Amino acid sequence: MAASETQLYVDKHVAYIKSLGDNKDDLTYHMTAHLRMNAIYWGLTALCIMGHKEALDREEMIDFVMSCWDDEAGGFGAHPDHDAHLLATTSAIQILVTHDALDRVDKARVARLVILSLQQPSGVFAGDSFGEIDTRFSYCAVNSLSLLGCLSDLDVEKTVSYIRACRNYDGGFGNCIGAETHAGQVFVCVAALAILDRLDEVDHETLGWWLAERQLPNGGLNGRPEKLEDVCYSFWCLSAMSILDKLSWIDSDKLISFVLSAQDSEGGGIADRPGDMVDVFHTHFGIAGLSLLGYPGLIDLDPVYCMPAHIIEAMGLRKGWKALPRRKT
Amino acid sequence: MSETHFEVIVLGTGLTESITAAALSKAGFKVAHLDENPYYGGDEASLTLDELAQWADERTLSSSASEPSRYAAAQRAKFRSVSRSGSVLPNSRQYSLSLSPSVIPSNGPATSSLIGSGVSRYGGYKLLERIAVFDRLGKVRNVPGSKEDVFKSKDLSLVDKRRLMRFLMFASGEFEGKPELAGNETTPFPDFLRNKFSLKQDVIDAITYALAFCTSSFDPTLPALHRIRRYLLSSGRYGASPFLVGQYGGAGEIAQGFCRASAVHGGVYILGRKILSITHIELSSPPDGTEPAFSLQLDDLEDRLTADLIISSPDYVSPELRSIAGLLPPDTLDASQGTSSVARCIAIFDGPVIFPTSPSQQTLAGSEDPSLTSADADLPVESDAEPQSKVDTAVLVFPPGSLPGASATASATVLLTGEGTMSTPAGKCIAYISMPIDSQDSTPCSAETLLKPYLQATLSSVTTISTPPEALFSVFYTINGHRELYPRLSTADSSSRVLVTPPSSPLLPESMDDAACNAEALFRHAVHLLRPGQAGTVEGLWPPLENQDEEEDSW
Amino acid sequence: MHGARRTRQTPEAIAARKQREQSKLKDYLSLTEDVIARRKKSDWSKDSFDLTTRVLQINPEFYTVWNYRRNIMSYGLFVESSPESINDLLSDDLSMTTMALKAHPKVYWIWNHRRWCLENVPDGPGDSHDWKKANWNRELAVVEKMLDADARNFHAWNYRRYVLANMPERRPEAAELAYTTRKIEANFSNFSAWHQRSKVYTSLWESGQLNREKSIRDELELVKNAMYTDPNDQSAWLYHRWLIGSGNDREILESEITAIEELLEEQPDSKWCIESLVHYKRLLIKNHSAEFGAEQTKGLLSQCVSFLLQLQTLDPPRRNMYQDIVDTLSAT
Repeated sequence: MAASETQLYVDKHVAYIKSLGDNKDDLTYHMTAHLRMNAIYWGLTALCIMGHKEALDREEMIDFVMSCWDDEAGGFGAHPDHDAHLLATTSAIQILVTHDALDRVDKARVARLVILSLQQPSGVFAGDSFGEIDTRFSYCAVNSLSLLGCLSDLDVEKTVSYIRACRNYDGGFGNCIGAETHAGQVFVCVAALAILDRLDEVDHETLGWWLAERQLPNGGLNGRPEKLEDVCYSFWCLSAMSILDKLSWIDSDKLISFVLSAQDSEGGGIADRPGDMVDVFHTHFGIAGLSLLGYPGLIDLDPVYCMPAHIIEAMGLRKGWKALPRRKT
Repeated sequence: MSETHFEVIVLGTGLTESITAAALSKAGFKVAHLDENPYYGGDEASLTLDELAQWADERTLSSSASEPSRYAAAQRAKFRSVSRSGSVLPNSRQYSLSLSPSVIPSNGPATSSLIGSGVSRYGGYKLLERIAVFDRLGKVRNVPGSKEDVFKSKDLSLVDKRRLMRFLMFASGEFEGKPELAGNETTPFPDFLRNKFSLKQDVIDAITYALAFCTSSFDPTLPALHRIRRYLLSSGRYGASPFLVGQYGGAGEIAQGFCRASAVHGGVYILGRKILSITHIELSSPPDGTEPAFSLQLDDLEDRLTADLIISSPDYVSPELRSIAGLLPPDTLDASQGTSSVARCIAIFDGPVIFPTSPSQQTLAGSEDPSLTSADADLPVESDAEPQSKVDTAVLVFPPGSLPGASATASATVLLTGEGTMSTPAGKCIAYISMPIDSQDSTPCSAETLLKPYLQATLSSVTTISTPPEALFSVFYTINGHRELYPRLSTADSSSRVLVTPPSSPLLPESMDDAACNAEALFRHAVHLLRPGQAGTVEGLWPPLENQDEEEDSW
Repeated sequence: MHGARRTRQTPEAIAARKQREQSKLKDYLSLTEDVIARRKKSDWSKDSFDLTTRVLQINPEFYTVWNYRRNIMSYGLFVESSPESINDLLSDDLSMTTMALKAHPKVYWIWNHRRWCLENVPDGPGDSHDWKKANWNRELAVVEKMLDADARNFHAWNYRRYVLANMPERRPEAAELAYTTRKIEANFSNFSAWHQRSKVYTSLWESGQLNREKSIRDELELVKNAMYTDPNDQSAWLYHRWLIGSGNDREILESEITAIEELLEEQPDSKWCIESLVHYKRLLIKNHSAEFGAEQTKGLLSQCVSFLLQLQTLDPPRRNMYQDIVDTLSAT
């Protein structure tokens, strides 16, 4: 690592992620139950990228995922007895794929849920039957259908047309028609288009420029113009940039230093920015970003699916993205 | 120890003395605080209209038969050229007229003291709404003091906007050591602005006199930059304006608030009693620390008061005492701002005060199609901005030479406060005009002659009062500068037991911060002297307030 | 934990905090267990409704409980209720979520619940639409409060667009220009407000309510004030780029290039000036080179290249981007 004294505290982060399930006497643990499925996906994926997939028990995790199955709705909730939602369903599928346990679900039934019931006439997807729409849910649907092997059931043109309508003059995308471009929405829209092989819908140069301008003098990335930097954008911007092959347009050394500086060097975990409280969300997206930047010792991450690259490759789903070459220590 | 003995006796209830007394009482010292006036605040008092008229008369009419006190004599030497209009207005008690008009920077020693001591809870504060400059064409123009003001200003060209912003960025940052400043620290500030930032004259005037509050075109660059930076960094704490205006008369109300805080912590208050003598008791040598150093005789009070240390406004210090007295903080004698003489006017007039609409109310975009907006007149669409709007608090600055027939060398500032500051009856406003005067001037004019043109220009520019622009009531006076009054006062050394408080800067945004800084120096000296062993343990001026321990989440 | 500062706690302090929280935790767990059990039994009672209020006041992110709450209303409370009491119930929920939003302005579920409430307010009373109008009109005031607190909150902006597009008594779109003017003048770094402006103008042009050319000239004047006031602010440059668009209007393109060149003289190191000059000169070449010939095109190209080289020194983190554009230009 050039000119940087800090390093990624892999052991600390592994221990931190392992410890997350040990806090059942902590109020915060229970107050975040609605995010449990996502949190497990974040923790698992971060462990995979650090090469410590085995740190969390596979069977226990699969059992938990299956205990969140909402048979009435035909999807997964975030926690046992919570309602099914597309966000949790996508995380559940990603976890099962990562553990090669997709046979535990009725793929066709899940696909029916996400395809038949949640796509709106406009082409966008709702998160559940209550009808909140967002391009995040379009990505969840496309990603899940692809992992389930059911992409052929999707009305691609209808799905793409909604994403196209969310494109702004800065090359980016918002979460619905008329919304301001946001790096998180850029990730979901670009990745969905990548899965659908429709990157022709993206103005590569303009969006690449907008993404490159997210880097601030301290090396961190923000999610919108004139906003503060945040570690989670390291993944969202970098994912889109690697899909567009524009990762060289920012200073990766400075970004690596920024992400590393947001680590908790004692307790493990990564925060949104230096000195803040860590959480598994930023830990995952920080490490995911570092993988795309070629940080030494990490496993390749697939930026389109945000899962270990070798798993996606083995499924024959790899798209033409480019991460930075893996550095030697 | 006896009930009449105090570790510290503080003489005068001006702001500096009052902050010092409050800090000492809170730190556990036994404090007595005296003032010959029947009100708090001394030269910074806020007075009812009757009190102000009486105050003026006491400094004009030849004194009655009785021998004036040391204090009364000092006051007469300090306040000269006093004149007032004859009749006092009704509702006298609804006025709270400040002898020390001031605005408070939102970030600074004064606000720190107000908050740290808890005194801020006693009073109310309003944001200063406007600062405007009276330009050389006789027009009142808002001063662009922030990025938003510059963006919206219609008086500035695009290039001027860029140049002004470059200066504002420079002035709000670390300008020490920057090439623009190097070698220009004492350059007259307007020259610096012209040479280094290529600014136009009207922008230079606005920056020099209404952002830096310079009093002449010769004021040096570095102190002016320091002031501007402090004010710029005060913007945004409570609102866009950097300054607060104290309600109920400002400085006097605040001084009284500190006295109250002192009393809450055991400070003893004696007001309205003449101090007949202050005697220095020669101590047995070496002093064993148990004997008092000073003894005070008060009018109509049998017991003498004794003290180990005296902290006093200069007006109470007799010539005998002066030989052992020291000014603290020591360098204040040389600070030019605090020592020059000032002409002042306090005038009451019929409101409202009307200013050109501020940039924050104007709209720069002219894009709304009039046919659209007029068709839907009942909609919350911004109407065409009024060119003028009412204000309750404002500062109007007259750069030197801007007003024909008035000073060509000094700037005058006018603080305008209306009923929203709770210092006037409904509908009435107060103008406080201040202008430094050159005491070496061979033909000194009366305060009234000097300031009348400013009063008239102010009234005709910012009110609807028809000609002739006359105030309903006015007082004019000059305040003699420190240098003339206390020429032989030495600076305090570490053993001085009579500490003389220096006057604060007469600049509107400086006086409160000065008082707070000086009070801190006095407090530290007192602690060092009285409890030498503990001096190091006193962390700050104010101990932490007893905080109402709120549960972080209450459900 | 966005924005929460890290504090180092001793194991004793952590244990003490957990001890303090024990009763809260117990209450919360028994409350949520109760609510979840009632939900399983399809209990649509008022009691259960009140319990969901308690859960959501503690934890507004518990989406399942929001869902349950709506179901209680739809399948329970509304069934036997007069339109008036439905209106009262929904108005109460709107008030409750206003409080919740003040504390949690970025929780998707709260915003969603508001939409559902609004969409279910009955017309009434009688044949009028007054309830509906009153509730929708109040939404604009609520969302303005939210944007006063955080002028960049994208939830609030999205919700604002939703309300404006769906309220029973539509406001003329031009009124939104005045609102964005206010937000921009309060702080022109607020790209969200500029963005909103671009959407409103587009719609006003498409419907023929405003003249596109005139608006663009006015807007260029406005945004230039921002560019000159703070040439480092991206928001203004992005909006300027939207106004220029594909650069078909050669006159505007050239006059804006001149204005930016003047700004560059004042601020010779301004990255955004140089960057924009490259972009606009490239548009000039792309759209108009046929009009002014090969010689001038060559000149423009070499200006672009030298600007791009300068940018590589001025803005090193993005030097590869500038180099890639140089390569693109050389290839043409």
